[in-house]
Amino acid sequence: MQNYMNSQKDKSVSLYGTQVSCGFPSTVDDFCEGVLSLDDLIVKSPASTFFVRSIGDSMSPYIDEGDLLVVDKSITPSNGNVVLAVVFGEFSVKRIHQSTDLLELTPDNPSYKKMLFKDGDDVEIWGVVTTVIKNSLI
Amino acid sequence: MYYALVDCNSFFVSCERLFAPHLKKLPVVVLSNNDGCVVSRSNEAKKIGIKMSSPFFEVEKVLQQHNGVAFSSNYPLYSDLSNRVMQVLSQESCLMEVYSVDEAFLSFDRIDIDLNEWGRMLKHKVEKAVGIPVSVGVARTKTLAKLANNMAKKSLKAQGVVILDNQKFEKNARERTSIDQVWGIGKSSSQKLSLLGIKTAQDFASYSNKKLIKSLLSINGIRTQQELLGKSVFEFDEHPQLRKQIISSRTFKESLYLTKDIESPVSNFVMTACEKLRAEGQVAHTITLSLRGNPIVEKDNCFYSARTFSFLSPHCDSLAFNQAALKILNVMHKDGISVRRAMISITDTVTANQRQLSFLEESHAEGEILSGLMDKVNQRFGRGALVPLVSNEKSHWKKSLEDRVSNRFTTDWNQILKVR
Repeated sequence: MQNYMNSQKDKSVSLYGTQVSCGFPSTVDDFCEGVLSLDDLIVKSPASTFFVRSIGDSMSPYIDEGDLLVVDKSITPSNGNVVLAVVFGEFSVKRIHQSTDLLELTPDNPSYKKMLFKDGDDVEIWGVVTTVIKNSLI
Repeated sequence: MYYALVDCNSFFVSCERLFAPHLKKLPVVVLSNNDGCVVSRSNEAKKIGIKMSSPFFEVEKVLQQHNGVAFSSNYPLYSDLSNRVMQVLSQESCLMEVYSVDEAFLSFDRIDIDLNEWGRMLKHKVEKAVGIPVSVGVARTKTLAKLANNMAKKSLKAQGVVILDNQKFEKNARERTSIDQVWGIGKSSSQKLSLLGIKTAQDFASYSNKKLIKSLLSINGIRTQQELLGKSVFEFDEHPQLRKQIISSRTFKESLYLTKDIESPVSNFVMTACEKLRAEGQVAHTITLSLRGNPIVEKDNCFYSARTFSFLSPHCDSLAFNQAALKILNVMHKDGISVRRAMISITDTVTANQRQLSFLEESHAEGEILSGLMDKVNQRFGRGALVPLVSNEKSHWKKSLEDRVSNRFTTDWNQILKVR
């Protein structure tokens, strides 16, 4: 039977890993642990984790142009977190501070302006930036 | 035992809006392969009169007038987001059945929980985690859960969650649902029923002449009635099936030896079977071609072969089935093999209004519309007035340049979202 079956591509991308060979049948086996996986470390909640690329410098020097950001949609942000927000329909990466009736989105880069929002303004928090992977050789 | 049906609102459109939030309040549609016709619409697009399966060229203007946007299908994106939704749902301590790319049944024994609260919590969880809006319908049976889900979608007051946890609510839901919206009742079935005065789900559920129902709709009609009345009949991985198998076949007057001579009758059988399929308001997954020689003359040397082709997503597109049948034929048969009988059988059928477009295959919407039109012409001018061109060449419906496609935001490092 020919079938077009849905083949799930393995989505786990191990960005780093070394092989630990436990070939010796010996007491060493009892201590053989799993390989360290960056994916396991960084992606705590795969269903709600998305990767985005920074193309601006409003959060410099914490985030530079070309950096890779790990965004988790399921986390509720705490004050001081870096979030991916949607401001008037546009994506924006800023540091969040929420007080009782005011929402502040502040750029780390002093050349950019802070944004203030009240209840009812067109602003949405898309997710929290949990990790910044600096633009290196990858 | 309770069943919850969770399904995504305007799924493909919602996937696009996740990465294009500026489109949240605008009319948005997603088009089938080759940007042929509309396969998903936002509420705003529905409001300006865009109908499902409309050819794109018909709606392009009105869309432009309202600052709307049309996207080409982006199956890798939809597939990935679907997996995420299902992953979140699977975290509930329930039995789960993924029914289609954007629908899942969850079932659980009712412990003392507030179902409304649970439903809202689940809806919120999926929306927060993945960003795709869903509707939740909860009831004692799958069929009722489907009704509830439908209501959840349509009622503003419900805010996306409808729980039918007592008989009064169940009756109310049945009264508000037209018979053709009931899971398992196909188009032709609902037409037959309306001749009996059955217009709503309640009419159907309370129809006392069971014998008549059974003769019109077979055992599934009875089962659907029972489900509507709160008795759970379709258990896990069970759905109402209408005609399970549609067969079209013939023994030839003389044996045929050349593959190209067999192509024509095979195509005819496919056309006939598909007409029956469409007349039932059904779509199907699988087509099987069987060939046989002449057992009387050839005895033990009689040729016999059968091969099956399955589509990931069910459809009623004659042309696609025809293409598959011819491909199978050319694999099974070589010139010189004597064939006296051929049979086409179409199986794994489901009612057409439940099928979802697959995220891995070409959409058949265009083909289905064409097939429907072909049926009309053939009815008027006689069978065979229009037939598909028997051809082994690759379909001319190749994937053309779909320049309205969005990025593969979640499956290609080079296409991830860029932010400032």
